[in-house]
Amino acid sequence: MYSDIFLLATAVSGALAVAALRLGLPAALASVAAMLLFLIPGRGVLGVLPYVGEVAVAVDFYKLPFLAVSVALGLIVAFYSPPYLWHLGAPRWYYGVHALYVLSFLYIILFENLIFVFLALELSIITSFLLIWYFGYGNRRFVALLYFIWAQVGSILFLIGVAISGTFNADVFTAGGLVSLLVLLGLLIKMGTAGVHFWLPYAHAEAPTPLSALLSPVHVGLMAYWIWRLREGAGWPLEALFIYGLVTAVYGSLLVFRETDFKRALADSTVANMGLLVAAASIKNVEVSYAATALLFVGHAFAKAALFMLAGLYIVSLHTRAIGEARWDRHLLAASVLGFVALAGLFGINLVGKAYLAAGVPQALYVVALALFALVSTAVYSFYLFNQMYRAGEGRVEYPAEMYAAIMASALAPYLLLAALPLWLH
Amino acid sequence: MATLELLLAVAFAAALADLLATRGYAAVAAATVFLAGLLGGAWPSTPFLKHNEFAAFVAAVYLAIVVYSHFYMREAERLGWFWGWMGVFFGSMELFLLADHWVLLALGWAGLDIASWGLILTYRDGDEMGYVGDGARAGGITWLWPPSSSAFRAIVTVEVGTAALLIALGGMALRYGPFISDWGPAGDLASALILTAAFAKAAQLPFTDWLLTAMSAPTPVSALLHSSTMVKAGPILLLKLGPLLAGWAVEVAFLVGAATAVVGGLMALGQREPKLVLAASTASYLGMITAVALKNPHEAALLIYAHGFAKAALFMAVGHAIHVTHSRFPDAYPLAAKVAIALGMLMLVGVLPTGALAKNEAPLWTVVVSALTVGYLGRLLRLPTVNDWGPMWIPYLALLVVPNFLLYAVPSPVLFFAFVGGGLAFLGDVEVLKRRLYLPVVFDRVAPAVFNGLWRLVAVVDRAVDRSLQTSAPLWQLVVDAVTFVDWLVDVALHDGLVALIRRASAGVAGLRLDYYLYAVGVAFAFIIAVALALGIWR
Repeated sequence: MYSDIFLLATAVSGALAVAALRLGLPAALASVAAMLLFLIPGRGVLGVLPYVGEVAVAVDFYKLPFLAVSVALGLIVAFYSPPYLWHLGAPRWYYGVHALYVLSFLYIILFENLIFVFLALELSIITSFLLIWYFGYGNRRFVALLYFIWAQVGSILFLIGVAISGTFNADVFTAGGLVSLLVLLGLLIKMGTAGVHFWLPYAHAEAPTPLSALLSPVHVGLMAYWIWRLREGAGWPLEALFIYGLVTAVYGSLLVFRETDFKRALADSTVANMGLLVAAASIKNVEVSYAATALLFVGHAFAKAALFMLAGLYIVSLHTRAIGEARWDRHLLAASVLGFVALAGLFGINLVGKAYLAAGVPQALYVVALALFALVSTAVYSFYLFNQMYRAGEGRVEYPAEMYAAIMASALAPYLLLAALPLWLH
Repeated sequence: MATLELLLAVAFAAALADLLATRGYAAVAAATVFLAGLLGGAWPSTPFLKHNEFAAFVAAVYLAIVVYSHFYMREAERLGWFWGWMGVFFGSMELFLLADHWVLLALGWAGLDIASWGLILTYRDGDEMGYVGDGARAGGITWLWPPSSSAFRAIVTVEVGTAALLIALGGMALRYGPFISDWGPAGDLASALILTAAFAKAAQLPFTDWLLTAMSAPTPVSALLHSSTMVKAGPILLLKLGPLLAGWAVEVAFLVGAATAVVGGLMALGQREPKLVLAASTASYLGMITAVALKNPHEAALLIYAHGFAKAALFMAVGHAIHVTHSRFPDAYPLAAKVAIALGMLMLVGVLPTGALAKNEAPLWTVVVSALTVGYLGRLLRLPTVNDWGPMWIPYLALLVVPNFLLYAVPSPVLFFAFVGGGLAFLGDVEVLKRRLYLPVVFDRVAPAVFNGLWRLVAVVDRAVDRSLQTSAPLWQLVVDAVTFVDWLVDVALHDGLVALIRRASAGVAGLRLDYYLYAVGVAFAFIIAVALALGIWR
């Protein structure tokens, strides 16, 4: 039954995405909207392949936040894009690739067969690579290649690890020693955590901004789901991984202060937030770990997308990427306050996520001290960036209304989602 | 019958309404409804909330302050911003007080941080009313802070406490379950974290200075932040979790609190900006409350009430003078304001009935703090009087008079020793007190220098690795070249060398003459015959 829904959703959204290569925005919007069909809970087997085994797809409560955010931001960003693409002079096929890119997010989470997860990763890499290659900034071909190679190394290490483990079904995945570390390393490279993050600031900053608004908030964060999902079978050293996550959070936070470029600062902030996600996904208590991972993922995704879109608004309307040159009126001020406060984790579901992350801190003095520093530094850089923007001063900014609407939709989400609080308070 | 959940919803909805309507009528309505609901016996309808004795007190003080704000902020700009954050401030404080679920408590606690940050940003940078300090240079820094600096300092300092609280509460929740009323004893680490959180919020040493630069906010904000919300969350946290803390926490809270009480009082003596006098005084009184919070919670609660009423009124009275003279350094005070300052002083030292109730049981050393109070408030009373009877005086005098009919006691004689401090009102400028023991230098110079050094180091390391990765591209070229060379060698060997060898051999063979062949054939036959004879085959 569910496999029928899956095939139907794939056929409709896939066909519309292909149509969007010629027809542009309306078809892309319809394609992403059709992806809502994937959100119906259930499980189905698409078939059994030789060697690869059973190819299952499933949607459960745990996957829902990741899927829903992908579709929601896919729609919001598509809605945001037209003035930006007009500014870039991008042709219509951009929208088709955008829809395929969003589809790849759903596949990454939906597939239970890890070989197919790898294929979904490939789809996401190729689509995003194309958009950077054709529509990026600066030395875009160099950056696109840099991104492509790093991403390939990540996904191929994941594939090698999975292949050697011989257990392709996520439910029964078991690996040990070097093999499990290959899988972990692959996922960490794709997330851009400290030490394997060098591609991330380039790719996320030089990508066309509507792509940055999906790449940074959603794409890299989805790996956290797989870290959480596979941790039982992989037997990773969770406490060490938790500490590594916190170190990444501190490292990424400190990197933000070197930037004057709005988009690069946000990209460095993504490194910090991926650190928090890795730490969240490796909390000993599995339910607390899930709550922290899902809440931080959702909160970060909306806040970061809003701020990337805000940076894009300045590129279109003021032709600047320097955060110190961004002028604001009261509407833009409202959007940036909402975005930065949520990104800082001082309110909205980001705060609840940070609270659950804090609950997972092992009771050892040095870990507590590190966690304290990580939580404070991830908040401080947000307010530092806000201050840069605030001090740039008030001014008249002319911008398209749909861009602003998209930014606000994304910036308000972390606060509106607090209404769903009773779901996890028990 | 209203439930607490409903009242909280009203408070936050009012914040949204005020943000959009930029009026502030919703704030008055929400405060009234909240107060009426609590006095009418509102009770929680879910296990998430629990009744708290301070909830009605906060609503009452908030009501007086929002009424006052309608007069004070009449000509101000950015009213939507101001009223919206005021509403969030009030709602968050009530949420913090009423929460029994750890996540809700954290939300209320952090809501206070963010609302105070927003409120400090109310005045624009460059608006004289938003500055703090006299602009002099001392200790290597300029003593002038615009709202954006003050807001940043405030949020960074209190975030240390919030992060500490999240870790402590999270650890406790994992151990004992989500409801605070079910919790058992906290370990040493959790106790230390909870103390840190309380100290940062209540502006105890060494976290004091954010509270003074927070004077960038409009006076009604200061009145609210210093009396019943924000800083009071520190000692109230200690009252809520006090019984769970490790034994040593009592002594630590006492030492830090008592030190802040005395140092804050001395700092207040040195300040020339009346709002800064009151801010330092708040740190001092919060120190006193923190010092007794774990030893004698009942006493701490009474101090919270008395100080809350007095400090809110004092700020509003000083604000009245600022409003009338349009200066951060008013040179004259309306008569009503002076009366309020005098009454506020009497309330703080414990001579008015509400103050007496709070101070009668207080430890003897607090009389020293009271003496300092008489000194710094006496200095304000010495300034000339100006004639102004705008309606601003009604809410603040009400706050000083009404509580005396609800909470009262006859002051004990020892409290009158505080008036010895009157002599301090005639003290000249003491530079080190005026410069707040140079504590701001730590926040403006030392801490930023350490942090900047850290991020620069990280940036340099990151850049070096990034560069070396990028410059390793020629290495890849070298590998490619090596492979190309080996490939060429094999290619040449297979397709050129071998073929040429065979071709050369065959050409060599093809070029030989017939007589050589005949000679070779003859030799071969001769060899075969010789071998045959030698083996005796013909025998």
